[in-house]
Amino acid sequence: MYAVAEKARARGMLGRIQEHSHRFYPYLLMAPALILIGVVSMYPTLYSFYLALTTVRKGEMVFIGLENFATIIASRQFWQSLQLTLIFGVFYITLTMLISFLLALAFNRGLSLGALCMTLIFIPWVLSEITSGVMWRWMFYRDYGVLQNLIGPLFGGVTLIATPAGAMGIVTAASVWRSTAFTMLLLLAGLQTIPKEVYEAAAIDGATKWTAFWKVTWPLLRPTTLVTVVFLSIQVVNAVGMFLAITEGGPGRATEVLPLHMYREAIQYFHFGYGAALSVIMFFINAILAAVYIRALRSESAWA
Amino acid sequence: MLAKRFGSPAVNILLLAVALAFIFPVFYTVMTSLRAPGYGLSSDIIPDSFYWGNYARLWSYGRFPRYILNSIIDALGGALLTCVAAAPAAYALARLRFKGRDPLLWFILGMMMIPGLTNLIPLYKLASDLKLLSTYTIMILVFGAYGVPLGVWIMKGFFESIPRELEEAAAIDGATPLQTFLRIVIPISGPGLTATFLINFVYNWNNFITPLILISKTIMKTATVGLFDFQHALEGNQDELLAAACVVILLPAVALFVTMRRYFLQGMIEGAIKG
Amino acid sequence: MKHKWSFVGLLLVLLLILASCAPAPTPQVVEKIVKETVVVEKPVEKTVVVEKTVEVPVEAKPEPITVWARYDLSDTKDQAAVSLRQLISSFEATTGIKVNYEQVAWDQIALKLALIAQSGGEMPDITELGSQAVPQLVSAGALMDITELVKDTPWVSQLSDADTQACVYQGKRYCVTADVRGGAWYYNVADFPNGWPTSAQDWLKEGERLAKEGKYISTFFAGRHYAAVELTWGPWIRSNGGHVFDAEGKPAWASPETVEVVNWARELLAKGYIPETCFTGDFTAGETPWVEGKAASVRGGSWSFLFIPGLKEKIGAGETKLGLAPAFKEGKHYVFLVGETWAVPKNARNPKGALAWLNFFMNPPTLAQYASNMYGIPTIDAAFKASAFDSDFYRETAKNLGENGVFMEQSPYYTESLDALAIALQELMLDPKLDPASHLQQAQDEVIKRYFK
Repeated sequence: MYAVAEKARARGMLGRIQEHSHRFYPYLLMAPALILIGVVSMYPTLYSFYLALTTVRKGEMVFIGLENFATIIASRQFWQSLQLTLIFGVFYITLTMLISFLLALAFNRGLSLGALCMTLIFIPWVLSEITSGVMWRWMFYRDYGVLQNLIGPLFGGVTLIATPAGAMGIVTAASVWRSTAFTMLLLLAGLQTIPKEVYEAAAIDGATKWTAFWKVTWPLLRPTTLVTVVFLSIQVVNAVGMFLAITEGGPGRATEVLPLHMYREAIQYFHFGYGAALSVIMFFINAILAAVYIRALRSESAWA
Repeated sequence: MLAKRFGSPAVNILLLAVALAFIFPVFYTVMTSLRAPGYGLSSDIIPDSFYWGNYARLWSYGRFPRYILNSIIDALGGALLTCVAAAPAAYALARLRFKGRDPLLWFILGMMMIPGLTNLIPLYKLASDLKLLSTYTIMILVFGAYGVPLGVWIMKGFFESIPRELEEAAAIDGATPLQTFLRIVIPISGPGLTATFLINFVYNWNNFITPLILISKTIMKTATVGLFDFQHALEGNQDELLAAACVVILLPAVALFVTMRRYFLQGMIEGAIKG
Repeated sequence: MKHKWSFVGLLLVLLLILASCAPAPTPQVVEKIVKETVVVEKPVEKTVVVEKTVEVPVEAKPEPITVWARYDLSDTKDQAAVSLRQLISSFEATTGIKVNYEQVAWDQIALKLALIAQSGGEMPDITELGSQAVPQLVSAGALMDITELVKDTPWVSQLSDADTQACVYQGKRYCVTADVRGGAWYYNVADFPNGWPTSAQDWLKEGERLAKEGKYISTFFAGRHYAAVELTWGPWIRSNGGHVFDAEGKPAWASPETVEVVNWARELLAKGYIPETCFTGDFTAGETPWVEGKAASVRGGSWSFLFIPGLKEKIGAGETKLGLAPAFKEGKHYVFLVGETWAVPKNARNPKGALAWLNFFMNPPTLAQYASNMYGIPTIDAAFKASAFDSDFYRETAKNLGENGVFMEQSPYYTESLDALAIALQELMLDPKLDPASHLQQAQDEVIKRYFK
């Protein structure tokens, strides 16, 4: 085989595959994936768009145009849940990025305990939201929860999970805990694409570690960071499991974020049209984030 | 020199401390699962004595063993289907030039942007129309499809990282792209396929909302749904039993990750760098 | 030749995807995984076999019926499942109607009926249903008006008032109640030397005394879930002369009566007479203080002795007794009631078969067998005379539910409204600075604005 390959190179046949490929082969290769996605992802999404324009009156499904959207916009709960999603998103993304970045910098030094620590840090990523949620709930039980007993006294002994800020803080911490490993790996991969020579050149120029970081590491890592942030943002818009497992939206509506609001409307109240309308809004929020992502990928040559 | 290569002891210890803090909740759960019945709640971290009987109790409790089996079938089937569908698509996207290549790539990756909840009601209808509610088939199809964007992302990165020479040689011998793919590329794609399979297996294993809606028969529920029910159905103080259920659910995924760590990490980096 | 083979390969791939009933292992994937698939596939075959045995057609002329209920008929440990399986085979033998039994989890029945009603799909002919879901499912177009269907049956006139309240909505009958279950307060005799307090005022006195001994007077679930209103708040508000819904099903909870109940509960909580977990915890967290001996009484259901650890033993030893619920202004010791019903979904294909099922089921001996397995009180008096109910527990429960049981008022936006109220109440309990009157009013206005334009 190797000899054949050698021959091919000798003949200057690079790129010959494309010449030989019949026109329909790419589509045949793509077909299984496209059929599967089409039936299981695309069709239901389109159907959701239709469902968003309907409601049920006296037991009959009726077309009502954009009325669901009008109701949503007039609803205090929608804006409240959007606001909560935003608050959650800001803290979640900032903390995840910060912790992941510090860890990635540490791992990038090639530590002797690196492999062991990497495995341990990745374990939360392997857990399901529901398992993680149950665990975090325990740690904040009144009288028994180990973290409640540790942190509670700092806030006058209140039951943290029963306070609006405390509940949001707990879900945020649990979510950060679960996503740090993956984010860290993406950043680490980005760090490792930076050639050593660049640092060596900087060192010759007499740059300190700190200036080397700001002048060399950061600019080269910016595209990775951007993409990671967009990924995390999409997770924010889809985050429901953790909230469901830890707070179920409480206390009051203090952690009733947008996806949870949608879950409640559609799954618990059977307002399928209204729920679909909410999910269409969520879809567009994601689409905007996706557009940012695509733009970022196209404009940064490091990612092409 | 040594310090430069392996980091200073201080950084190592600090990192280890952070890593241990990360697995503390898991440790706490394992400890809770080892408390005697009725003593699941306690402010102590480590129980005075280990009681292993909760796992036996769990095994005889309702349908739990069956839930685990259902999870394995759904997650395994879904991950395999993802591999079968994603690999050829990723190959086409990585190696072949054709009309609509870029839009198709963005279309597939764009599926990642659909909120997981959006599709559930229509999927329920679809499953109901096809008489596939509460079946392995629907779970495998849905898991398989949900995994495709990530699978394409990882596999495309993988294919771009392997040298082209062999494929070119096969092309010169007159092989079609499909033959090249099946005979030349697939046999050397073990690591990429394994990564795709493993990552999707773990995602499927952990998925909760999809089986919650698409499965109504108790006997077909998955472990995560069973756990959610458990959390709500257990009367009185039986947290030690819930903890045992958590441990049983997390163990396969953790074991898979620890033993196959290389494939997991490689897969993610492959996707991230080349994607 | 080569082309042919690649097409065969491609066809195989496509077939795999389209017909992917069983995960066909791709030869490329690591051998280990292939082995695993083989191992796990055996049970799949098993289920198929089970389903097939259910679907074996009988040559009987009447059309089969599809029945939904929560029980897993293969579970030999579950008394109710065993009993239902016997009832089904005896139904099939008596009527010649084949039963296609589908097990649907309890919390999923209403959701799935609503989903099918709105997105199409096959409805069962008869389904088990909790009475509280009736108005909401009627709004969703999921239930059939069976007033005419059951009009001429021998049992419909014998049904108790409880059945009417549970199943008749806006003058039409949507279900038939088999049995009712309800709330119950259980107290530890030793903790109440002055007797169990039966009025809200006495609760404050006894609460003070018990707090000095380091005990909570009681524990119950009153958290952030519509059921908290059904189980706990609703009966109190009613006993104080207030309402949750008006006759049309519109929220009517913003009233001085509700405010008084809130202020009473706030006092209990603020003085430490009841644990905070009643309002912040989930269902079981509400019971935990009693299980741990920190609370002198617990509010559960008439079936609770089965589930709350230690309750059955304590009742048996006479240490714990059934007590009246605290009475407010009206002097009524209300506890909640819920009906276990059979309903016929709209578009059910075989309503005649459903009627045969009901006729079979509401026959007193059959009903007695079913209800006793549910630990509920049957809605037909003749059934309650059966030996299964000949015990102090059933007599006391039946008396208490008969005298004090109260259904939640009906509403077409039942869950949504009660969730909104439960959330408002939780906020009031956790934040003493909130004004009850305006906060309850705001929650009520929001629900009315959205649903009752």
